[in-house]
Amino acid sequence: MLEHVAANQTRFVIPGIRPDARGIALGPFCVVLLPSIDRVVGLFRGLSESQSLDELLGGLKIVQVRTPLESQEFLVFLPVNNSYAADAIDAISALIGGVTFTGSERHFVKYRDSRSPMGYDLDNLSRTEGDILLYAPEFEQVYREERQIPFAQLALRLSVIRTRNDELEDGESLLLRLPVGLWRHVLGYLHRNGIAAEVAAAQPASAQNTESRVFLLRTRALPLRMAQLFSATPGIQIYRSIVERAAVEVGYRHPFELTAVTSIFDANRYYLYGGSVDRLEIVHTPRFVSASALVQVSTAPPTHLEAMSSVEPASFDVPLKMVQGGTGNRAVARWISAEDLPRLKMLAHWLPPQALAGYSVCSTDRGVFVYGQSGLDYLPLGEMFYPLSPNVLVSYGWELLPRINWEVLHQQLQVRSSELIFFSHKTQGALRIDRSHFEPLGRAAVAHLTTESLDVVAPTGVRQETNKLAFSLRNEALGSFPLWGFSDDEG
Amino acid sequence: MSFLPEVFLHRFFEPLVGGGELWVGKPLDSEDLRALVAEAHSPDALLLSIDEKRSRMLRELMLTGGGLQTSPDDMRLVAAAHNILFLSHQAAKGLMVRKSRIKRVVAHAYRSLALPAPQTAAEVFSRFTITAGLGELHRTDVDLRFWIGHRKFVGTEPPARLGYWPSLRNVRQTRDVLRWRDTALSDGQLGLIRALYAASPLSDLLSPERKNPEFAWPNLLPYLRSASICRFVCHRYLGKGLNIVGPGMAQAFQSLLKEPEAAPAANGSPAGRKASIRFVAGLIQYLFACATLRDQPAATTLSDNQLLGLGALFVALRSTPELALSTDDLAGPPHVARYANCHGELVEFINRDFVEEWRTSIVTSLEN
Repeated sequence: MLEHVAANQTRFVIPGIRPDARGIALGPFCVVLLPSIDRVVGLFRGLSESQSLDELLGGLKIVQVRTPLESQEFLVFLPVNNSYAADAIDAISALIGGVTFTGSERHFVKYRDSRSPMGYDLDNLSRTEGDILLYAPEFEQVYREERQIPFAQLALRLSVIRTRNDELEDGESLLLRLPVGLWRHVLGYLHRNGIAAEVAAAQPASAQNTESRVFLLRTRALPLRMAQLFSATPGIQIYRSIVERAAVEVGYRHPFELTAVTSIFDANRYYLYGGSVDRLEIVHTPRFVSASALVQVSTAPPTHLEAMSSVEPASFDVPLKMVQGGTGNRAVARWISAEDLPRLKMLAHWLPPQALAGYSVCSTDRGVFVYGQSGLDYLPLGEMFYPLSPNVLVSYGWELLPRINWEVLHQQLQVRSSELIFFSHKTQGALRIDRSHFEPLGRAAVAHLTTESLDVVAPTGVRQETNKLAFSLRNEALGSFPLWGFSDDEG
Repeated sequence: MSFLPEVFLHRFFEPLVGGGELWVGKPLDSEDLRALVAEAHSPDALLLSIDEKRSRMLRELMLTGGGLQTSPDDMRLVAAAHNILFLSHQAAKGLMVRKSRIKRVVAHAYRSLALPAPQTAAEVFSRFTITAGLGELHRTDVDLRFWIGHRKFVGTEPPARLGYWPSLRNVRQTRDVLRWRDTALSDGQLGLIRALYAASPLSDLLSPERKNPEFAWPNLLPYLRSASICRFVCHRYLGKGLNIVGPGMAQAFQSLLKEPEAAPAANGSPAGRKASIRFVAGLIQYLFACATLRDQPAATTLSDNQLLGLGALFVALRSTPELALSTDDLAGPPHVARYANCHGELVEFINRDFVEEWRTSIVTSLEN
C-alpha cells in the first residue's frame, strides 16, 4: 500500500529514498516504465532536446524486462540528484505514455504527481521475488531483468529521419562524400573557382582494404549554386557537421539531438549518418589536407611517346573445347526440344505467376529456349545451362577449356550485350540468339483470346456511391463516462 | 488511457484527409490539443505522410502550389472537427453525461475554432484539405431487434452476442447508411459548424444545397473575388448540377436582397451592397452560360422542378438591363444560340409570376 509523503518527513520505508532540498522524496535513480522500444527512443528524443545526456550516460541503463505473465516492457534508469531533474524526466515520460518511478536497488516507487506532491512511500516492502519491483497507486509489479541495451548501441542503430525546411544556404560549411572517381574533379573544380577546401581519404573502421576508402571534402563558404550542383550529382552526398565527430546528411536529422550525446562517439572515429542511403558509416578520424596541395597544376607540354615497332606474334591458336566438369552456378536457361514441347505447354497451366512473369521464351527451328535470370526452379524439362558470363551460357555439368577470362571470350566471339551465346555439349559450335527474340512466357504461352464487348449502364451512380462511402465514420466504445477527465482550461 | 497524438493522427486525421474509417473517441481537451500542437512543431513520419497527402490534394485543387505543413492552427481545426463529431456520438447523449459538461466541450471547440480568417487563396485551399472530408462522411447505424426488445447502435457494430441464435431469438438487423451532415445535429453542433465554415470558407461555399446551417453569400463573396477559388467553385457547382445547388443559391440571393445590412462589412455602403448583388447575379448567369456549353439541349440539362427558383431568378436577371450578362462574353455564335435557347425554354416553362416577383425584389433592392 502506498502512502503519501508528508512535508518534512525524513524516514522512508523504500531503501535509498531521501528528501531533497524541497522535501520531495527522491532516490538516486528515476526509472521510466515504457511499453516498447520506440517509446524509449521517444524518451531520449525528448530528453536530448532539453538537456545534455552526456552527464547522465555514466549511470544510464536501459533494461528489457518481463513480467511474470511474460509480457515485455522496458525500464530506463536515469541517475538524478535533485527533483528538478526528475520533474523534467517525468514531464517528458508523461508525453510519451511512460510512468516515472524513483528509488534504488530493486524497489522503486511512483514519483510524485498532483495527488501526492511530495512523492510516495510504502507501508512495508513486498517480499515477492524478482529483479525489480515497481509500486504505483494503481498497481504493484515485479519484473525479471532480461537484458540490457547499451545506450550507444541504441543511438547508433537509429536511422536518420527526413526533415522539412532543411535547405542549403549560401556560404555554408559543408562536408561532401565523394566517389573515388570524382573527388579529383570536384577538387579541381573548387580550386579553379577559388573555393577553399580540404580533402581526406578516410579508412572505414570495419574494412581493412584501401579500396573502400571514403573520400571526404570539407569546404567553407560553399556558394549555394555549387551546393545545389553537388546535391544533384549522383554519387555525391552532402553532409552537415553537427558535432566534432559526427555529420548528418543535409535534409535529414538524427532522432536525438546529437549535441546532447557527444560522448557516445569514439574519439578516434568519425560518424557519417547518410539519409538517402539509410546508412551509418564509421570511419577513422579523417586527416584533412588542403586542396591546394593536391591539385595538379602543370604547364609542361605533353610528353611524346616514341613509337615502337610492333612484331607480328607467332600464331598459336588453341581450340576451345567443352569437357565435363562440375559447376556450382545455378541453371538460368533451358533448351527444350520439339518432343518436349507438349509437356511445356501442359506445365504452363501449373506455373506460378512469378514464373510466368520471370521466364522468357524464344522458339527456334531447333527447339525452344527458356531463360530466367533468377533461375528456372519450376521447369524440369530440357538441357540446363549455367551462366559463364552475363551473355555466355554453358551446358550444366560441362565447362570450357582453356579457362580464359570471359571478357576475352566476349571479345573473341564478338558478343554484343543484347545477345545470348549458348555452348551446348550436343552441338559443335556455339548458338547465338538475340535477347529481343525472347518474350515473357506468360505472354507467349497464351493462345489468341477473343473478347466480347459489354455495354456499361449508368456507371456514374455507382462510382458516386463508392466515393461517398470512402469516408466512413466509426464511433469508439466510450462507456458511460466519456467526459471523465475532460479539462478545458486554456492555461 | 492517456491521449496519444500519433494514435489520433492515425485513426482520425489521416482518414479525414485520405479517406477510410475515421474513429471518433473521447473529446480532445486542452491538454490533448497542446500535445497535438507539439506534434505539429516536431512532425513524425506519419504527420509528414499526412502533409504529403494534403499537398497532393492541394496541387490537384489549385493546379499549382508546393508542399503543405500542418500548422498549430490546422491541428486546432482537426481537434474541433473531432469534437463536433463527438457530439453526435451515442455516448455524448448518455444518461450519465451532464449538459453542463457538453457545454464545456462545445465552448472548448469554439475556442479551438477561433482562428484568423484565411488571407490568401492558398490558405483557403489548405484548410479545405482538412475539412473536405467532413461533407462526405457517412455513418452506418444498426437497428437490432430481438425477441424481447431492440437496441440501436450509432456508428458502431453491435456485439456478437446479440446476434446469437438468430432464429430462436428472432434477431432482425437493419443497417442504415446515412450522410453525417444529414443526421439530426444539435444546436451546439450547428453553431460549431458555422464557426468551422468561417475558418474554412471553401467548405461553406461548396455546399449551398445544405439545409442547416443556411447558406449565405455575404461572408463568402470576398473569397470568390479570387479567380482560382471562383473557378474551382464554379467547376464544382457545374459538376454537382445546377438543379442540386440552385435552390440554395437562389435562397441565399433572396436573403442578400432582403437584408442589405448583411452585405460585407467592407462594403457597408449602398454601392458596396449593389456590387455584391451584381457579383452574385453575374456568377449565376455565368453558371448558366457554362451549363449551356454542353451539346445537349438546354431543356434536358436545366429543366427540373428543383431548378425553378434559380431558373426564375436567371430569367429575371436576364431581363434586368443593369445585371444582364453580355452575350459578347460567350464562346462564339453556337454558344450564344444555345444560351438564348435555354433562356427561351425557361421563359416558356416558368410561371411569369415567379419571374416578376424576382424582378421586383431586385429592382427594389438596387434602388434602395
